[in-house]
Amino acid sequence: MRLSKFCTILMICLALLACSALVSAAPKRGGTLKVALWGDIETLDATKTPQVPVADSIRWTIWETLVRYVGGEELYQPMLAESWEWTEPSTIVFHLRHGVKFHNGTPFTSADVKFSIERMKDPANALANANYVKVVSEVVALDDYTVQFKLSSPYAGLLTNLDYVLIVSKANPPTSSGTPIGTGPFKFVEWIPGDHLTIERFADYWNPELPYLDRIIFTPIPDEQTRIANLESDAVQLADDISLAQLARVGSNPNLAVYTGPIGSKLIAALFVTDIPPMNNLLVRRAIAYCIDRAGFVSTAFSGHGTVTENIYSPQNPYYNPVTETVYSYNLEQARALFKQAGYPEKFPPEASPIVITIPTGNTAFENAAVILQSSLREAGVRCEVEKYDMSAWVSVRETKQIIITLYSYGGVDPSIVLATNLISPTKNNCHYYDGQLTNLINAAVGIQDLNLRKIAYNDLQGILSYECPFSVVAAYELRHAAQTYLKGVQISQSLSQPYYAEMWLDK
Amino acid sequence: MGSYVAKRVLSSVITLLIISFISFVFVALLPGSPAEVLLGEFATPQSVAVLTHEWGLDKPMLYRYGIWIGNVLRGNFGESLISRIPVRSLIARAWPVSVELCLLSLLIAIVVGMPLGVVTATARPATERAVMTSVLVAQSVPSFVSGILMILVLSVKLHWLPSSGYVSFLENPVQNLKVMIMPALSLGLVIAALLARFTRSCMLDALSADFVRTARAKGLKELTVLIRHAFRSAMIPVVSLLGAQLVWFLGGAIIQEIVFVLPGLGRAVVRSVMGRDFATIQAVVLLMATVAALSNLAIDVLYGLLDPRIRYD
Repeated sequence: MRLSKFCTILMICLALLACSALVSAAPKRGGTLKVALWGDIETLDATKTPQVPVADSIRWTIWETLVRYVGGEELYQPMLAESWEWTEPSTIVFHLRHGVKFHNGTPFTSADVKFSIERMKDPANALANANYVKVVSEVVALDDYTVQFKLSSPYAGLLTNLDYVLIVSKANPPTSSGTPIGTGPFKFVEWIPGDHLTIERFADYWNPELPYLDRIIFTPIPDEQTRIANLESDAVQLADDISLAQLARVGSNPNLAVYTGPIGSKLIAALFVTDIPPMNNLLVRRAIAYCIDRAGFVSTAFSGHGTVTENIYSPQNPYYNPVTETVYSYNLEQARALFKQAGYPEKFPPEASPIVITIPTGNTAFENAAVILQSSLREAGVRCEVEKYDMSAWVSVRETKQIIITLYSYGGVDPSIVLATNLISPTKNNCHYYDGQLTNLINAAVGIQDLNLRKIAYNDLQGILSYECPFSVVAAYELRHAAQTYLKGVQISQSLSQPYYAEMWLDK
Repeated sequence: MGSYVAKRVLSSVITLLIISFISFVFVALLPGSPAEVLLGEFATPQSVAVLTHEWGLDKPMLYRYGIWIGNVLRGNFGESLISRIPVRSLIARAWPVSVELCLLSLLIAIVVGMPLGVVTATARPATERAVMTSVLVAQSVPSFVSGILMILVLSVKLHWLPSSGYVSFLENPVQNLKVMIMPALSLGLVIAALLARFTRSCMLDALSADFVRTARAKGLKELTVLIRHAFRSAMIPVVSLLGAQLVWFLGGAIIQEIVFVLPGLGRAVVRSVMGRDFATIQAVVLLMATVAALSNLAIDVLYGLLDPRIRYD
């Protein structure tokens, strides 16, 4: 009897404790969040550019997408589309959410979806993400809340691509500096170029629970030291894109929390410009791939926070092909032998001009990758130099150099996305590597719906790319954001590594 | 005097035209495609071509310069490349920030530097050595290092001052000064150190001059000798140094604006160079060059007021 009484009291106490925990965990509404962005916002049209500062601030706060890629079992979360079904292998129908309003009060209908896709596809608009809807040949508004996409060929990656496809208002499409109008959880307040951008809670948002914050102020702080100092002094509550070099400093601060994007979603790769001698020689490309000390790079440049990989898909990706993982393990002897076989027994290159590795300035990871590659190449007897350019110059000059150290990131897990980037897209790639057979295989793989067949197709493609070596992946890593520990509800997109703001709240 | 100033203004205008042309050519010759940077890795060649055409970057360089300078002479500075915001409004918002920073730094430099120079010129050797060593340290630390150090100590550790969050002086004077004091200090102290050294050596020269001996022989008080005779004569080279440093202030302000997240001209120019936003670069370069030309002119006129021997004929 006494024991059971004790148990009852204990149970009540535990229940009370649990309740109090629940109470403190319940999101609080209100407050202003200050966010430090790593770069400047250059335009208010988020459909115009994939640049991270624009994406991290306004892309998914002011506008929304039809569905959101969330990964896991669920894969896609309904946003403006409540449900969808594939009626044919190349036709998908979306059933849109009712009662959604744009920030100016006009209702959201299928006409806006049709307009958004057609606007994106129109080459005259020169929008950044037109490639993601290239496969959509026609959009039909079946009624006000039903819309049908007809694809030119079956494409399994379409829903993942929709993360990039913002639904804009037909009556008020975005412009570079005009007030942006969307259906998102926050509406635009003001933008002072070079200083800050402010958005505030949209009271008529279709989900009455969200958002929790009243206001968000985004401030571009391009200097990383300053960005972190502002976080440490609590002048901002969230800072995007913390470099791996600064991770220890941020991680050791008990007031700060680090949020990591999907594992292995960013790759550092050395691209070989394959139409310039001596890089047009397969043996030379392979020899250089053997000179890359990937483990050394991850342990020194990334302080261990990365994954050694040779693959365009990280080991966590379902399409990863383990066979191609250790083809070019660091081996200077092998490299020397290959140079010899390629006809360069003594020194390489034999002409006066050395191999040039080109990188953009302002990214420590690139600089480290270039320096580490340069030192291993020198050890193998290769004369090479590193050239740095600012981003604008780099995108123009890089393809005239022999080696480009660059970064590739991919959205979602769909393998077609990586192969559609300029890394190895059959129509335009930075390696200048074009192969009819490979192009056919890539195009065929895109249409395969069956998961196992798709895996086989993409594993084959990885085998061919590994053999032909138009580029060599150095390592995979993740994007990280840092925030005050009192900022709760921080979630990072599983496709684009950027934070979602609607669910964030301040526990203060 | 009037004709001298008129001549100088005319030659300044010609200089400014040459500067605008040179900076235009430099920017145009820089490799770089703002369209590719904006559109990112998935850009199609067609969309890059559309934007390049839309922004007029496919036109010949001289044609673009002609259009630009014609518009500027009519008072139109054009629009920022990507955002399409008039450059005039971008600059209107940015210049007060930079001017305030420069004036505050100048104030700190004068208030700290000049008295230190005068004191060390007349102090005992031990004091002099101690002061001059700290002056040397202040002069040697780059302002971006002292800026970051100040943030770490005063903002992160002590929470005395905000590390960013500029508001205009008219909106909130107290908050404005709180934000501006660190950048102004780290910029101003470098100049203060330079000024202290220079003032000291000019004071030493002046103190050993004949007219100071005469003044002392007249039986004037030492303070009067120091301030009215020696200091005034020592000021001529000091003022010219300050004039030359005004342009340096604008350059140093760029770094401080980046470290302390101030939305001034320096930030604007760095941003526009990175984005090859030539309308903004041209406008800011022209503005800075105008300030430099005017400050040089002002210094030359000031010479005449300080030293009656200088005549403008």
